[in-house]
Amino acid sequence: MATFRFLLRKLAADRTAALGALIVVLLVAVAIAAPVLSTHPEDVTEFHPPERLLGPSGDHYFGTDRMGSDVYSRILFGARITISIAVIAIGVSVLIGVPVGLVAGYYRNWASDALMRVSDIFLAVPQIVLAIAIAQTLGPSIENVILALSATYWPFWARLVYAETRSALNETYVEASIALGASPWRVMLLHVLPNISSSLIVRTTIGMGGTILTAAVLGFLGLGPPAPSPEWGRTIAESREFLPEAWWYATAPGLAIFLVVMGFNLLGDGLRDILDPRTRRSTDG
Amino acid sequence: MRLFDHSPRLVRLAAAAVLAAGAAVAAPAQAGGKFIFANSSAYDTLDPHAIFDVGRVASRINLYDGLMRWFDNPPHLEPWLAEKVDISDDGLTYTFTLRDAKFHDGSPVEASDVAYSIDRILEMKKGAYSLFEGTVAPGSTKAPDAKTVVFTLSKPSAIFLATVPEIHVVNEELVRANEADGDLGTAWLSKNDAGSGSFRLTRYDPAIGWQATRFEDHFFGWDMVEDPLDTIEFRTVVEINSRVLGLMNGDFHGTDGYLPQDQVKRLAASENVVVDEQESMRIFYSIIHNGRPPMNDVNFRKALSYSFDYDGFIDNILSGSVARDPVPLPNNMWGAPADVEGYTYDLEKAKEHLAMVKEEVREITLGALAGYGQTEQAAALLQNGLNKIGIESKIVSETWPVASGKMRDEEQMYDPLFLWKSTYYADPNNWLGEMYACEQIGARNNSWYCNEEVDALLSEARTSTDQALRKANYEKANRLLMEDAAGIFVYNTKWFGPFNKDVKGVRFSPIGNGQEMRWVSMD
Repeated sequence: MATFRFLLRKLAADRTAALGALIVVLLVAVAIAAPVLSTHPEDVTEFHPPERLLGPSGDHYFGTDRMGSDVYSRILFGARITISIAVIAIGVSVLIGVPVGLVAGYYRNWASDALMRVSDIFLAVPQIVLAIAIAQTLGPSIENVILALSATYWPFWARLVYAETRSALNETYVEASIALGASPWRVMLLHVLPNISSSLIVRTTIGMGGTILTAAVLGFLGLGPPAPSPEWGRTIAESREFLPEAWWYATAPGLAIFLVVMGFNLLGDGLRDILDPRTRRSTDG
Repeated sequence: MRLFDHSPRLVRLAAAAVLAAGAAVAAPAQAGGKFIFANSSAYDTLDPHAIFDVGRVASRINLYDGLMRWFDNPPHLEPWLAEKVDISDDGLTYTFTLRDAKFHDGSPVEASDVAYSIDRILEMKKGAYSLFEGTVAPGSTKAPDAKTVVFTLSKPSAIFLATVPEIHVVNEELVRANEADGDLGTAWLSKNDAGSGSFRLTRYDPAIGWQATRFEDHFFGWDMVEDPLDTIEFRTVVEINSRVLGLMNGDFHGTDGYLPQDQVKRLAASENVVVDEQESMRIFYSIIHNGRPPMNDVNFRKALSYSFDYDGFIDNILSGSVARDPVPLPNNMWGAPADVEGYTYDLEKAKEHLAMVKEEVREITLGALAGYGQTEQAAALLQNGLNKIGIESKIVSETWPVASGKMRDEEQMYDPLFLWKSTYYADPNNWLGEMYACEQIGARNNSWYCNEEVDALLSEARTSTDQALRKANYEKANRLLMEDAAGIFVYNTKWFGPFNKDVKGVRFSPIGNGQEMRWVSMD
C-alpha cells in the first residue's frame, strides 16, 4: 500500500505522466460506461440509411457514418473492443514471455539457448508483417487478432526478462538465497521476479500503446473484427471512401487512437522515470 | 442461313459519328498522346485465355482480337477478325472467313491460329472455358485453308456466336516456341503478348500494370480515328481516393465507372473531369446457398428477401444512382419481364414466412467482398433487417480471390453472398443460364439451385434459335426464380465513366466497359 501511495504521489508530481494516467483511466471508464455515455447505443447494430454522412451536430457529436449510425456512440463501443484486444493480447504475451525469459535466464544450458533462439526467430520477422500473416491465414475476427498479437509480442517480454534475470543472478541477494539452498523456482519467483517487476511494468504499459496501434492497423487492413463492428481501425478504413467531404468520419476514430496510444506512452514513460532510480529526473528531489 | 455477311461498316459508321461529335467541339489536336487508366484490380496475368472478368478486360480487348466483337450500348455483335460467318441450317456448323490481319510480330493471322486458340482454352480449362465446355469439343475446330475456320458444335447453342468474342486469337507459332514443359505457353504468355490487337505490349509489371503502343499495321486501320493514341497505360491503383484525386489532378485520364456515388459527385464537380453516364448491365444481388438448410426452405429465402431495405440501399446509400431490378436479369435486357413487382422491405411478411419455416433456423453467415464497401453496406443492412425478425447473423468480409474460391465449394460457400454479375456477353444466358442452370452447379451456379421447371426453360432457350421462344422462356424463368426467392435481387447498375475532359471518342459497351482504347483520342 505504501508503494502504491508513493507511486500516486510521484505520478501526481509528474504532469505528463499524470496526463497519461488520466487518459488511460478515462478510456477504461468510457469503455465500461459506453451504454450510458453514448447518445445512440442501438447504433452499434442498427442503421438508418436516410441519415447517412451527416456532419457533427448536437444530436450526433461526431456526425454519422456510411450506414447512418452515430459515430460518437460507435467510438465509445469501439473502446471496449480496443481495450479487450490490448489487455488480453498483452496478458497472454506476458504469460508466455515472462516464464520463458525467467527459465532461459536462470539456467545456462542448451534448453535456455533453444528458448532464446526461438524468440530470436520471432523477432527477426518484422512484427507487423508477422501479425498480418497470422491474422490473414486464420481469417478476420477479434480472437484471431488477439492470437496474432500475442504470438508476435511475447518475445519482447522473453528478451527483457531474460536480460534482467541474467543481471539479477549476479546480485548478492540472489547468490545468498542460492547459498541458503533455495530451490530454483523459489529464487526465480520470490527473488528475481519482484526485483525486475519495475521494468516489466514499464514495458507492459508502453506495450499497450503499441498493441492498440497494431490492432488498429489490422482492423484497417480488414483483418480485425468484420463489419459492422465499431472497431476503430475498421472505421477509419470504411471512412476513406468518403474523404475529404465526410472529414468527421475518419477524424473521430483517428483522434481516439491517437489519444489512447499517447496516454499509454506518457504513462509508461512516467512510470519508467519513477520506478527506475537511474533515470529518475533531478527535479524529483 | 447467312448472317453478318457485311464488312464492319456499321462499326466504322458508329466510330465516325462519335468522332464527329467530339471534333465539333475540339480544337485541332496534336497527334497521339498517352492515356493512363487507373485500374482498381491488379493485372496478375495478361494471358487472354486465363482470365475472364470485367475488371481486367482491357488487356484482352486492346492487345488481342477475336473473330467477333461487341460494340456500344445497347451492345451489338459485329464481325471483327472475321469478314463473315456462315451458319448451317442445323445450327451446328459455323464457318468464319478471316480478313487479312497481322500479328504484332508481322506474321499473318491464319485460321489455324484460331483453331489453336479455342483448343488452348479448352485444354487450359480456365477463363472463358466454361462457355465452350460441352459445346465445342477439343480438336473439333478445323482450318481447311488459311482464311477459313470451321467450328462444329457438339450440340446446338443459341449463345455460341455471342461468346465467340472471348476466343482471343493468339499467335500459335509464337506461343508454341515459348512453351515450357507442355504448359501451353502459360508462363510466357502471362507476361508477354502474342496478339494482333490494336495495341502492342511494351512493358508489364504485375505490381504496377502494363503499357502498350499503337500497332500501326492493325487490320482495322487507323484512318477512322483522327489522332489516335500513341501509348496506353493501365496502372494498378487500388485506393479509390488516389484514383479520384489523380483524375482530378489530370494525372490519370480514366478509371472504372463503378465508383461509390459520393466519389462520382466529387468527380462531376471537378472541372478536369467529365462523367459519362450510361445504362449498363451489371446486376447487384445476393447469392443464396439454396442447397443448405435453412436456405433450402423457400419460406426462409422469402424471409431473407423481405428483410432487405431496398429503398434505403438504393435511394440513400447509393443516392438513387441505380435502378431497382427485382429479377436476376438486367431490366434493360430482353427476356426481363416488365411487370414483376419483386420483394419489398416488409418485416411483417418476413416474419410470416419465417414462422412457416420447417428447417431449424440457425445463425447465418453473410458474405461480403473486402474492399468493395457497397457489399459490406448491403450485408450490414440485411443484418439490420434480420435482427428485427430474430434471425442471428454474422458478416464475413473477404477478398475477391478468397470469396471466388469459396463460391465454388458447396461446404465453404457463404449462406448469402453479396456481389455483382457483369456482362460477359449480351444474352440472358449470361445471367440466368449461368447462375441457375443445374449443369452449372459448382462452376457458375454458386447457389446450388436446381429447379426442374426452370432448368427445362433455360436449356431449351440455350439451344433454340427461335427468338420468340427464347424470350418467353427467359421471362417465365425470371418469374419463377423471383417467386422462388432463389437470390436477393437488388438493382441494375448505371455506369458513371469518369474521363479527363480532353478525352474524346470513348465507346462504352457493357462488355468492355469503355476500355477499348482504339477509338479514343485526346486534345
